[in-house]
Amino acid sequence: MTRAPHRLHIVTDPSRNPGRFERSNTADPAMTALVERAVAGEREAFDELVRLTHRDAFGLAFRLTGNEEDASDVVQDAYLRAYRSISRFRGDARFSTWLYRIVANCASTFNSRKGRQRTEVLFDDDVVEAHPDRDPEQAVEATALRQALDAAIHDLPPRLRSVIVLRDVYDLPHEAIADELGISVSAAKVRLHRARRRLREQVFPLPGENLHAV
Amino acid sequence: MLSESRPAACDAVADDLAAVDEQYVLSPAVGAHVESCLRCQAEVAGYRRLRRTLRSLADHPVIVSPQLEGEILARLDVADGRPAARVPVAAAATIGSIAAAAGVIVLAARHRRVLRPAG
Repeated sequence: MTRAPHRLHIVTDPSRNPGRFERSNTADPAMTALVERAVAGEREAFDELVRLTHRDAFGLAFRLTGNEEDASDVVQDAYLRAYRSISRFRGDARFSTWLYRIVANCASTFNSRKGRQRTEVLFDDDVVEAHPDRDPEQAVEATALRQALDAAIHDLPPRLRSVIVLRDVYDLPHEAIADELGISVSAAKVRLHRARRRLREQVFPLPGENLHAV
Repeated sequence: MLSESRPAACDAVADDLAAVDEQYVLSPAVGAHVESCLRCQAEVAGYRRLRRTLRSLADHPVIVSPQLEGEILARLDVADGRPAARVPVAAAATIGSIAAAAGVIVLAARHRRVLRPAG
């Protein structure tokens, strides 16, 4: 069964996504305290982590599955798995990285169960301005570029898409990606380079390369 | 001007150019080729721009259904053996706003009825 394509709504103003993780390497003390309480078995603390992180987790799942409904299923599975194993979270990785790995693993299982179903992603017109204080022309250009790139990512085969999303969008280490996808580190790197090459040729083509673009 | 077909020397380093990131830098031999080759310089710039744009995608996530949070928490409730009857914060806020708006409309209608002259 094929599902109808879903419209991808992109939030272009980060302030509209209040629960998003910070991507700096320094852990937020409030977040650390919350994680510690969740690890100690406090359900309310885990619920709060869900509130703070589910938007980012959904974004990752959406980019890995290419489908809103599938992403919702993947995220629910991922949080259930995270909840069941939070007592084993040692804190040597950031919570976001740990959660991303679980989402990646659930998406990989989901995708392989589902086969290679391709979905088309349509972009909405009502995209919100990213930085109103910035040059509007540049902002429009940046938004268009992100949309083109998101569409190109969705056109990649799932095995290439997973690796580039996890490495270059969500910054997971090669080793973690290889672990979660059940492949070797060198295979993960080969897929990453192949994916980068295809995206670069499609989104930033050199003379002659765009002849191959579909 | 860049040529339209990729020369063999550029083909030989193409995989290295795609591999460059924070963890991988070009070997001296490949670096020397890139320094003398406009086409490969343009390719490196393309990869740099690609990686920058890819990183920015995570800061511009997709819009999430307001029901998702409640659905996740309900799954956890079931796992915990709790009754799964939750209203997510966003959905609760929406319901609250609608109820408040309805209240205002009812009050305004009553007020108008009181002010309207008899007959």
